[in-house]
Amino acid sequence: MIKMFHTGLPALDIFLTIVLLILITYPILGGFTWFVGVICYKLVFKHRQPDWIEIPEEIEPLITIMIPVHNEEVVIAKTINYLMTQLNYHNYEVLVLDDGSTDTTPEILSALMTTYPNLRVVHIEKNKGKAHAFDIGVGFAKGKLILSNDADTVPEPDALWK
Amino acid sequence: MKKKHQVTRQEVSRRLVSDQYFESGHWILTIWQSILAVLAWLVVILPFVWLALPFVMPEWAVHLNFRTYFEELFTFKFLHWFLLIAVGLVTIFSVSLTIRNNHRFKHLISKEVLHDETRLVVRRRVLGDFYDERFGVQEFRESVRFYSIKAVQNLEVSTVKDLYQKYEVAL
Repeated sequence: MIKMFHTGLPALDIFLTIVLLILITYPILGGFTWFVGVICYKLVFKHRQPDWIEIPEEIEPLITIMIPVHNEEVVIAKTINYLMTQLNYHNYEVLVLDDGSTDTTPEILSALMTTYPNLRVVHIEKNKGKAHAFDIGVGFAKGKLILSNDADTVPEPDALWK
Repeated sequence: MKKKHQVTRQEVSRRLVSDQYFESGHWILTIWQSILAVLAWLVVILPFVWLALPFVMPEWAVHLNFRTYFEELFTFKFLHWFLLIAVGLVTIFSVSLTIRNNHRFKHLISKEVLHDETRLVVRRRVLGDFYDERFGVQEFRESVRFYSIKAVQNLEVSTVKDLYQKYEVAL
């Protein structure tokens, strides 16, 4: 046993050494844990999720895709165009929470609103951050379910019904 | 029932990801990035090869004047045991947690409601009343297409927490 501490108390030395070793090797230990965890999930866990079950269009629950944005003129149009045209889902709305943007985001959003009837915008005049935007947004969301989405990311086309 | 078209992972990456490396017509970039990738991986692998040399090919190490010191050997052996024991402990830990989860799923999660329904109803009502008062009634809020929140309508950081506390359904 290598000792990296010499306090005079052997038990404490061993304890501190083990703590230090765990700190040094934690990426390796993390890798082990991940690997073993996957094997446990595949072989030992009995309640694995079965394959996706499709929802018929008639009973799709209304989903609100909530997007907090702040000065996103570069990406917002692309993201919303994708959400409106590429998803394999029908009963949804997109609620954009414009958290006090000072660039052309508001103009882009109002132009998009004329194209897409299920696009709604809540404009927060005084910027107060993402968490605050969500707190406001849940009051305006119509959906039974809420999907939080960033202005620069998109879900895969099947994400909503899955 | 209308059949939904399922999209494969490959199709999604084709639609959402663009990378000139994998597209045709960029062969200089492809070759250059391949060379860089191989070099970078060599930088990762070579130190391990170098350190493993005295163990797997001792006569080569002598030939290259690669001296191994006692401390190095000792450290290697120590780490070998340390990590081996760690794998054992991690396996025992993970398997027992998975068995515990199996048990929880069978006897608890699939049988009992784990949240407090009455608290939830109260919270929903409290928040609903608050939003009604500040931004307009629910029907209006859920149908309005554009709404501008004035600075005075902004929520405080502790607004929701305070409301829950006031009506005794604290977080």
